[in-house]
Parts: sequence; structure tokens; C-alpha cells
Amino acid sequence: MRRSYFALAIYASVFLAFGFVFIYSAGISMEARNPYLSASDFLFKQLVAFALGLAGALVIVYFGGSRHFKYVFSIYYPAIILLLGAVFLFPERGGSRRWIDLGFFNLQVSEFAKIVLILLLAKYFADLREKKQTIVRAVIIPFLLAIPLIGLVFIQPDLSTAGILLVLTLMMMLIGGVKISYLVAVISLMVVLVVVGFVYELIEPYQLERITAFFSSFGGEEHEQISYSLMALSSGGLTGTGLGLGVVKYYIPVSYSDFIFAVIGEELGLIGIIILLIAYIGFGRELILAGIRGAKSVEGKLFISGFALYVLLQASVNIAVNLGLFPPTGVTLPFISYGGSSLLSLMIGFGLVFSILSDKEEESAEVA
Amino acid sequence: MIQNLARRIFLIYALIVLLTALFVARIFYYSLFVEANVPTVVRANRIPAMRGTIYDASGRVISSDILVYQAWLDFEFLRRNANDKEVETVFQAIEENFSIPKDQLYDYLHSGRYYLLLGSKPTLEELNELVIPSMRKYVSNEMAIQRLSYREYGLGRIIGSLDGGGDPVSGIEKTYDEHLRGKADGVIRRTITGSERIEPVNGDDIYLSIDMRYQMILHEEIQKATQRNDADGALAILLESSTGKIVAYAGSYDWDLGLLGVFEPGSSIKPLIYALALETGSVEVDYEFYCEGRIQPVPGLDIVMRDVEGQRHDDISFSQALVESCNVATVQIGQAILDNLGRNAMRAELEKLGLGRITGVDLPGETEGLFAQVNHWSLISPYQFVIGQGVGVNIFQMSRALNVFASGGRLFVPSFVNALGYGTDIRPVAPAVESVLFSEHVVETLIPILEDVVNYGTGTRARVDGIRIAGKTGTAQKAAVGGYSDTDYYALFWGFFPVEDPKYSLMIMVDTPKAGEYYGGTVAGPIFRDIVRRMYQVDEQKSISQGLYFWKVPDMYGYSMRDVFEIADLYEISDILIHGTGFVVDQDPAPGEPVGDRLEVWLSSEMID
Repeated sequence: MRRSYFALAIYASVFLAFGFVFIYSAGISMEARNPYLSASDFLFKQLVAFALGLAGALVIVYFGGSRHFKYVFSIYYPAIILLLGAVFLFPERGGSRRWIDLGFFNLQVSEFAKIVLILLLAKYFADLREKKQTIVRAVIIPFLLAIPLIGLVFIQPDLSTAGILLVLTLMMMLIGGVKISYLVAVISLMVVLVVVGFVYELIEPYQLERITAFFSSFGGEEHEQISYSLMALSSGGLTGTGLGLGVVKYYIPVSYSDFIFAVIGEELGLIGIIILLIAYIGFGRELILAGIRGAKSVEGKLFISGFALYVLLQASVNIAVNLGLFPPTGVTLPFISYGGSSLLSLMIGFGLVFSILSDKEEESAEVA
Repeated sequence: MIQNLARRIFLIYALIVLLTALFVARIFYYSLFVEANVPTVVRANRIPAMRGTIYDASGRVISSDILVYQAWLDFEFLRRNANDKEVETVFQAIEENFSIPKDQLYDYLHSGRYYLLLGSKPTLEELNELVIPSMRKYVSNEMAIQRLSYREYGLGRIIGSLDGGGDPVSGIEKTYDEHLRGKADGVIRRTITGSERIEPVNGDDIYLSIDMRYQMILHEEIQKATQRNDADGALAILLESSTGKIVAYAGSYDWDLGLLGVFEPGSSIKPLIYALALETGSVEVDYEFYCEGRIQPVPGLDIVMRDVEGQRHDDISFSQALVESCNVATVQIGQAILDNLGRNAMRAELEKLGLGRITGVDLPGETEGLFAQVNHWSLISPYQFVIGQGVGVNIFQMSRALNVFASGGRLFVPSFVNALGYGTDIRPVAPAVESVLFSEHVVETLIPILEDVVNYGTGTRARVDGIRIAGKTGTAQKAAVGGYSDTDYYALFWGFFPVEDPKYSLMIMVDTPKAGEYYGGTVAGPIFRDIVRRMYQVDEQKSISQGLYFWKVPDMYGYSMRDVFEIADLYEISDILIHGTGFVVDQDPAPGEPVGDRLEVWLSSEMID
């Protein structure tokens, strides 16, 4: 197990190192665009988020894994309340209400909602295994649990995070042991709902525009971000332009966050990108193996696997966007992109993983 | 159960790995097989490469790029970071300071636009007065360039202009675009460890042969003359005799008729015809002609060519025929050339003079002029050509051809440019000699005759005291429907000066003077004279009593010979030694020296600036 801890720590360090270096490098490009921004500020804020996340993770490890599952509803309800707060109490920014303004820090609650959802469903499906599976227990109740979170994120509006939450729910159902026939039924029903949504115009116009713009045209201003991110890869070539020396990054609108992958591609080239991809794949594998082998409880196995798949899913969506394979969504690259809430929630999730794994260790030690 | 769990988890994991394989394939493709069309400039911190500066012959700036500072609004940053209230504040400030309506800004904000140019100012300070603190976070400043040109005195037409995108549309800007255009933008940027600055590679500067002072003189005189003569328009061109470089070029038309249009040269073509006749051995300089005021060149063809007002010259010599611009004698000379060479060779010789083909002057759009091929010639054509009818020339063709008498027979490709280059790497543009038209002997034979034209022939109105001028008048009837007009003429004068060491060649054309006079000698001649007088500041000579002190020798620079005698008289100096003609350029004793009993001065018709 120690080998696993070590490997996970190494992977996490690789991601964080990539993140800190390239947030600074991308920050330089933002600085050039706007003299009132500073690359050091970007880096500093990310380091603060990291420190807070590390502290949070240590606290979580200290409490021990099984306790988190016992009190999962005591974080589920606050999460809903915070989401309600973000939507109804705090001012709109750039057309959506996602943030809770803490003065020094804007908290994006939906990032934490992802971890809460995985934790909650891990617990629920672990419990379900003891019972007889029915459509109500296997599908309807999990959805009733997930819908407040998904719904509140959807009306912010933040379609992409809502989408991630929805896919996480389905993924947890799948690994939670829900019958395949139920899953097929659920997915079919969702397709019908989406069609209805289109017909009755329940989807915001800008969301439609993003999708139609993406599929209808691979040129023009709408597509600028993507063409520049691909250009960044071409500019990087095999070995990249060198740290901080990218040029295309100056043209990428949110280079420090959604498109940080392209900046890495430009400055470290194909080699850097491959290392990054291997790191993600290896990280996922190590986490899943650790979960299955190392976690004592089923809920622990489900959470760790769910967390691993969540990280991989989010990374895949982000990379797909960077490669022009998916519409621009605003999904960050886990552990790497700039964003305090994202890093903080990931660190907390990682803390939960370690607390679950250490539970097992302690108990094994006691047995021995 | 656990196995089922693990199976399902690894199923999803496997899907993600497969997806990653797809990513890797795409990344390989873009990294290794797509040539990046990397932007050469970085939007936010580029140092724009400037277009080269255009200078006149004395190094005065005529056209140059200046840096301006632009303010760009970053909508994407605004969308992501500003709340409704901040957006409203920023838009309010923009509306007040840059006069861009708020509604329009909101439209852009919702349209997914990324950037908007708010405005530009020559200095960052001025720009920052408009970019008030509340909007600074969302506005980035950039450097850009703007071209400023001095367009007075007809310079605008010569240097040309750029379109909104910075591409040249006319003039020197267009011809020399490849040189002038900025080569590569520079960049200042931060790296992880420090900063990097790549200097821009600016375009080459151009040093014109145009002298702004002379350009001003020509322009003003041409404008005045057009008005005074109630003319349709007028042109003037001043060449440097020894190089064919254009020192000044002015016109009073709305368009560039000198380059794009044609006129008939009339008698101004005669010096070339007479020289050609001598050069080809068709006539000798001592030939005599008989002029009864009219001639029928082609027997049996009922076309009679006359001298102006039917003037008879009776017995007239070769040189006198040119001095008095006798058409009848000239037609006989044309006959001699035709008999000697035949039509084809005659046309070839005239083409060598530059008729019917572009000169290659460095302005875009030059016309070839009109000069029919032999198979389109009528019986009378060769006789018309020799008196400057039936051919159309632009002013560059005519002035460079006539300049051969001032350049020892060399025909130049006229040019506006003396040198090209950047910084210390200035490369002179050598005068381009196209050919040597006439032998030195022929040129030497013609020069005194041309000087006589001005001294007592048709061109006396062009005379300037103290400066020897050789030239030729021309009065060309304008072509009209069914023949030539009796009322509309081109009045022409061309001349070079000073004869003893030719420096300039000046040609004047006045189109349809309607104020009474219409002869080249009486309309164009005085314009020529006025220009030369202004060039040599003849009317601006110092009053001789100015600054005279009896104890020291005055500065006599620019004084005439008469003034020198007058001063010598005032100072009671009897021993006066004078060299040359014209105006004082040097003296002994030097100005300010004690007055002695002798004074020696050197005069020249060429003033040293």
C-alpha cells in the first residue's frame, strides 16, 4: 500500500508542478494583454488554494474515512444551501450566478458539489448492495438525491458542470452495480427529455449557440479559441518552444484555465503532453487499484473509484475541448488549471481518498 | 460482487484510455504534421515594424510612420470577471470617454466578441486620460502605427497614399512598397525568468530627389500661371540635368495628367528632330532652306503646312530655322530624314527618343503616349511628327528627351529617388542611363542655337539676367474633331540652365490658355523665367546698404556684379577683380575683414545654399 501512496503523491506532485509553472507562464500572456493583471497574482492565489486544500485534506485524513460516510448528509444539505445562496443571494458575473463572494475569495460551490455527489452516491450504492434492487431504489432515489445539485447548477446557469454531475451520477450507478437494463432505460429517458427540452426551448440560447457554432463552423471568431489551441500544439512541435516562450498563448483567451493544456503543448511540445497524458492515465489506474484493493468498505471502493473516474472524465472533456473535439465548455483541467475552488475541492477529494485508505491501514495494523 | 465492481470500473477506465489514444493520435498529427501558422506578432506587446520614412533631397521628412497607442476592450475578460454593476460602470465610462454608445457595447458583450478598439492617441499619457481607473482592468493598451505625410505643394500626388489597411494605392508609396514596408514586427515579452525584447525590422527609408523648396516654387508658379492665363491646367517638371532625377514636379490638374495623360509637344520637339537630322547625316549644319510661309510636303496631296500666322522666313539657315521655329524648314528637314532613313528606320529613331513608350519613371500608371506604327501612318504623318503634331507624349517622355542637350546626349530613366536604405546602410540609387542619343559634337552644335532661342528667338520671355539659359518654345494646336482647333493650344517651354555647366532642365506646359496669349514663348516662357528667378532668389537680393560698416568688408554673397561695383565705390576701392558671371559666391577679403585697397570676387549663376 505504501507503494501506492508514494505513486499517488508523485502523480499529484507532477500535476501540481505543471499547474504552478503553466499558470505563471499563461499569466504572463494575460499580463501582456492587460497591464493590471499579474502572473505572480495568478500563481500566488493558486498556491494559497493549494495550501488551504492541503490543510483541508490533512483535517479530513485526521477524521478517518468511515466517519465521512456516516455524516454524508451533514455535508449534502449545506451544499444545497450554498448552491441556493450562490444562485439567489450573490450577484451575477458574466451572465451567471456561480459564486459565493467571501471577500478575499470567490467560492464556486458547484466544484464541491461534485465531491459531495460522489461521496453521497458511493454511500448510497454501497448500502443498496445489501438490499434487493428495484427501479425505485436503483434509479429513482439516486436521481432524487442528485437532482437538487444538478438542478441548482443548471439554473445558475452552468450547463457543463451540470452535465458533468449528470454523467457522474450515471457513472456511479454503473459502478454501483445498477442493472444494465435500468441504465439503458434511464439513458433512453434522458434522450427523450433533451429532445423535449429543445422543442420547448428550455435550454438557454447561448448554450445552443455554443453547440451549433461548434458543429456548424470550424472557422470564424466563435471558433477562435480552438483554432488557437490547435495552433499552439503545432507551434510546440516535438519538444516545445521552451518554458515561457510560447507565442500562440498570447492569443488564447483563457490560457491560464480552460486552455492551459494548449499552453503546455506549445511550450513543452509533444513530449510534455505525452508525459501529462501518461500521468493522468497512471494516476487513474493507481487510484482505482488502490481503491479496489486498499479500501476496506464498499463505499470506500466506490468513492475512490468514482473520484478517479471523475478526474479522468473532467481531464478528458478539457483535453477534448483543447483538441477541438468538443465544444468549449469551461471545464478545467484537474489539478492544473487555475481556479481556487477547483483545486480546493480536488485536494479535499484527495484527502478523502487517503483517509479511506488509511482507515484500512490502521485496522490491518490492529489485526496484525 | 467486488469482481463485478472492478469489472465495471475498469470498463469505464478502458473507455477513457481508448479516448486518450484518440487524443494522442490527434496531438501527434497537430504537433508533428501541421505547420503552425504562428502569428508573427503578439497582439498585446508587439512593437510594430514601421514603414520607412520618405525624405526630400535636403533630408526633410515628407512621409513617416508614428507610433500611436490604442486602447482595446477585452470583452471575454469582462464576461468572466465583472458583475452587472461593474459592466455598467465600465460601459458608462467608455461611452463618456470614447463616445461609443452603451447599447452597442452591450450588443458586443452578448455577441461573443472578444475585443474592441476603443480609440488611439499619440502618447500613452493622453490615452490614459481616457482610460479611467474603473475600466483599466478590462482595457489593454497596444502600440500601433499611423502614417503622416506632408502633402502640400503637390507632394501628395508624388508620394501617394495608403488605404485603411496600410497598403499603398499610388505614388512612390506604391512603387517602392517592397522597400518601404516594415519587414518584421518586434516584440517585448516576459519569459519565466525575465524578459525578452526583439527589435522590429523597419522598412527602408527613401531619399527623394525632390527638393521641397523647388517643389513649392513650381507648384505655386503653376497655380498662379493657370489662373493668370485662364488655362485648363498646367504642368512643370524640373530635372537634374546630369542624372535625370526629378527635383520638382507640379501640376494644377485634378488628376495626374503629366503621368497618365498626353499632350502634343508641338515645336518643342524640334531640337530633337534637328539633332537627329545631324546625327543621321540627313542634313548638315550649314544647310540653307527656303521658307515662303507654307509648304505642301506631299506632291499631289492637298495638305499645306504653314508657319505660325503664315510668316515668311525666305532664306533661312539650319540654326536660324530652329531659333525662329520655322515649320517650313523643319518639314524640309523631316523630308531629308525620311529620304535618308525610310519610314521604318525613321520611326525606330523617333522611338529611341522615347516616343510611344514608357520612360520607366518610378510612379505607377505611366502612359505610353501615342505614336502610331508605320502601317498606320498617313502620307503626311512623318511631316507632322517633326513639328510635334500627331504624337502624344507625357511630360516625363518629353522632358527627359530634351534633357539630352544638357547631359551630353545621355537619355536617362527619370526617377524620384536618390537613395534607399535604413540607418547607416544607405544605398545611393545611381542615375539610370538608358542610351546615348546624340554624339557630343551634335549636342555641342545645338546648344548655342538653343541659347539663341532664348537670347533673341521665340523664347526671349524666358530670359533671366545673369543666368545663361538654352531652350525651346512650343505652341501646339490641340486636336479637335475633324482636325486641329484654331483656338485651343498647348503652350510649351523647355530649357536648361546654366548653359556653361547645366544643372537643371525645366519644362512647362500650359493647357488651353484663354486669357489672350497662347504662344509657348509668351505663356510658358514667363512661367519658366519666374521659376528660375525664384530658384536663384533673383528678386530677393539683399539691399546693398543693409549691414554696411565702413571699417569692415561686407558679406557680398548673392550680390550682383553691379552691386559689387556700387559697394566698391562706397568703400572707395578701385582695384576690383571679378571672376565669372551671375552672383557673388566667394570674396577676398572675407566678410568682416578690414577694408583694403583691393577686392576680388567670384560670381556664379549657381547659388550655393
